[in-house]
Amino acid sequence: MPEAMRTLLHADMDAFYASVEQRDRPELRGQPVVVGGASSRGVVAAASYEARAYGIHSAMPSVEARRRCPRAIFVRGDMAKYRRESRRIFEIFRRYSPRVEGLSLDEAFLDLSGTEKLLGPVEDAAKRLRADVRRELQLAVSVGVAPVKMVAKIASDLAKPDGLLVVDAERVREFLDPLPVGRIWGVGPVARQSLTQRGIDTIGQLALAPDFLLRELMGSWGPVAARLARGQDLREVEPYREAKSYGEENTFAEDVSKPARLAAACRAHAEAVARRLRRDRIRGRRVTLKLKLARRLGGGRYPLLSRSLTLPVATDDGRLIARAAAKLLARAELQEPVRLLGISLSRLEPSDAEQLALLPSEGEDPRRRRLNQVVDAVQDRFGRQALERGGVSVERAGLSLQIKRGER
Amino acid sequence: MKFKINNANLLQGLGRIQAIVERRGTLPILSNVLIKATSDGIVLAATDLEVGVVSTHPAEIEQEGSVTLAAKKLFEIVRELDEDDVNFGLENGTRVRIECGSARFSLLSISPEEYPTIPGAEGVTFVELESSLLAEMIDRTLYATSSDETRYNLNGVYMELTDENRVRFVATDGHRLAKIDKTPPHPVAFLENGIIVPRKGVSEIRKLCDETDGPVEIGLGEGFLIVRRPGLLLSSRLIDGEFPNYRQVMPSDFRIRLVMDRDRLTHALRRIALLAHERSRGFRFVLEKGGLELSASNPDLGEAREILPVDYSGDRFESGFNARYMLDALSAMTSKEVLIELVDELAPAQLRPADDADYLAVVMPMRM
Repeated sequence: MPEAMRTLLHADMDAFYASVEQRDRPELRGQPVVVGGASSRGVVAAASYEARAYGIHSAMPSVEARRRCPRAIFVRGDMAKYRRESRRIFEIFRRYSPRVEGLSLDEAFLDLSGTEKLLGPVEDAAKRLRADVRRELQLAVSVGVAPVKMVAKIASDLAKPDGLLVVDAERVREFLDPLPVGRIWGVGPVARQSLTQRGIDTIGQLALAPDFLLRELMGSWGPVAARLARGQDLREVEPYREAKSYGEENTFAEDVSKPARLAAACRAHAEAVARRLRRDRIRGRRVTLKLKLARRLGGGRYPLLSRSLTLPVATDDGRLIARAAAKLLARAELQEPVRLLGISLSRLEPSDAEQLALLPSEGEDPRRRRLNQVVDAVQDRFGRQALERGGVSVERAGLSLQIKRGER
Repeated sequence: MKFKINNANLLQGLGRIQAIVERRGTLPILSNVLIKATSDGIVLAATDLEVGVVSTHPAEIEQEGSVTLAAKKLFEIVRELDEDDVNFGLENGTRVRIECGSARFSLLSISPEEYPTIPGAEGVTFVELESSLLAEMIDRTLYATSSDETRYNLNGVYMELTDENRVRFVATDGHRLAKIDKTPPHPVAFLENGIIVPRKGVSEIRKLCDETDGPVEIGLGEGFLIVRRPGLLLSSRLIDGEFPNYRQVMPSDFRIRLVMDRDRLTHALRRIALLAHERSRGFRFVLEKGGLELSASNPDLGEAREILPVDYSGDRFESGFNARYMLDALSAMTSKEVLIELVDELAPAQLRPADDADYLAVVMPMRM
């Protein structure tokens, strides 16, 4: 479909985790709320608008957040709850378009092209969508509407908090031109600096810059960025984009070198990831162990190690994942303390079609399946602490749990 | 070393070893072919330490001796030569001069003393076996072997003697199994204790069958299976492991028996498989009075459904299978009709040619 005829909507929940907490706990309303680990090494997962006023933002170390706002209220997040809320939000999104591309739990593109006959003018539809979310969930969502994805996303960002911004097809350039060049996807701090040195500060200037210059400054992304700056972004909404990996990682409260504690962290993450795989009826074949070493490289960076292996058959069993992770841990031959450990599963396949074994291979045990079902059922009913595998509980600093989508 | 050989003859010998020599092996010499000029002609030998082949080709020998040359490069060169005869000669110990018409090559030789020994026929008792029979047994089992290296004991075809002294080949990857029994004219006594021959060895034996009319000889060496015919000897290392007790998992007490047109079922399955999930390949198999419904759905694409008439009057039976496993089993048969036997939705299904009790395939269902 030609871009002039496309109508894309980007919906982004405002301070999602923090807003859910403020909704459910009235005493937090109007307060600077930080969701994330409160310990000395935790990381901010989300900050309420009151906290943002102090310059607190997600991914900031909790220590820094505490320094900026000593009276901030730290809340340990409840991912299960956020996921439940997310499902309800997406149900609302799907009333407006069958083509919904989720980018994370609280953010999605909707393709509204050709829905005017059904839903009325797009601006009205967007208003109704926002009203539905507010009425049914008591949460705020900001919405941007534009003929191309990037512009819709910028618009929803500029509309925040709790706003709506529609950019008509014929006004895209007018909208983009004055914005700083860093708004373009793929223009990070480094690229921005080299562009600024050549006098390219705004998107409008980038749109007019010759390709050869941009290639020199930014490499092969240069000409692509210029096309984006001209509002040319033909990417479609991809409703069926599946998760490519399931992972969980955790920054330790203090650096860990004891093998037993690293192994315990592997088990805890393995069980958690396995449980999410089972919930989504997915299995994975490739196990990846990620380790961040405690040694500083400068610039806030740490050495990162990653080790992977492929299992003979796809699994959603925490014990098998933990066993694979232990193998990977041994393979890493660690000589120094670890700051962060994470496990992810990729090469996913649906588990609703499970090939049964004629001759079970090592680790394939039908009784495990039954056991996992029972554990899941108990945890669903009584919470995660009600029943846990021995050696699974681990001190979690920070709250970082990702379901990666696409390759972004 | 100096000899003259017919080009086509040499090309055939070099072509045969291309699949055996290592491409990027750890031992450089294993990328080479050993060429020995003897009074009987020239001998070509190649091995990857698992499978080895030795062939003899007539040649005019002027001077005996041996060299080793890069097998792939030599094959490429000989393939491009356009005269009938090619001359080989060793110069100053390490270079081999190759001349054909007006073309001249000089190739480096690695010392033949470094070449590993390939198991030969010494001390082996051979039994004659029709090459077409051997080929059939391989074709109907090899596909079911596992390529998962962690299950090395399933990475080959299991060959054994049954209680009735029949030769049996079995292969399984843990999810499906193929089994064939045949009674050759000469008993193959050395299979009394079963052996596992790795996939690569089996597929090389299969190729050898293709280029042989009439019988080959097979025998058991120390940890190797040897197959030979005049002018050619092939050896395959055996997998050092125990084949699982497959008899224990063979289904029996079937409740449902269906006879279907094999071609028709195959084509329907191929259509259904187009919409099965590309990883799991699962499709639904639903049997009701008078009809077998096959269906598949894929969240990214859509659905496929097809109903085939069958002579069935029992209760509804619902299961799922991997389409590839089913298709592999069906294409390993030649009969017009296939007999499908089922116990229940979680037990293995058995497929066999309706007119041939020697062969059967077992496929474990999927939980859909």
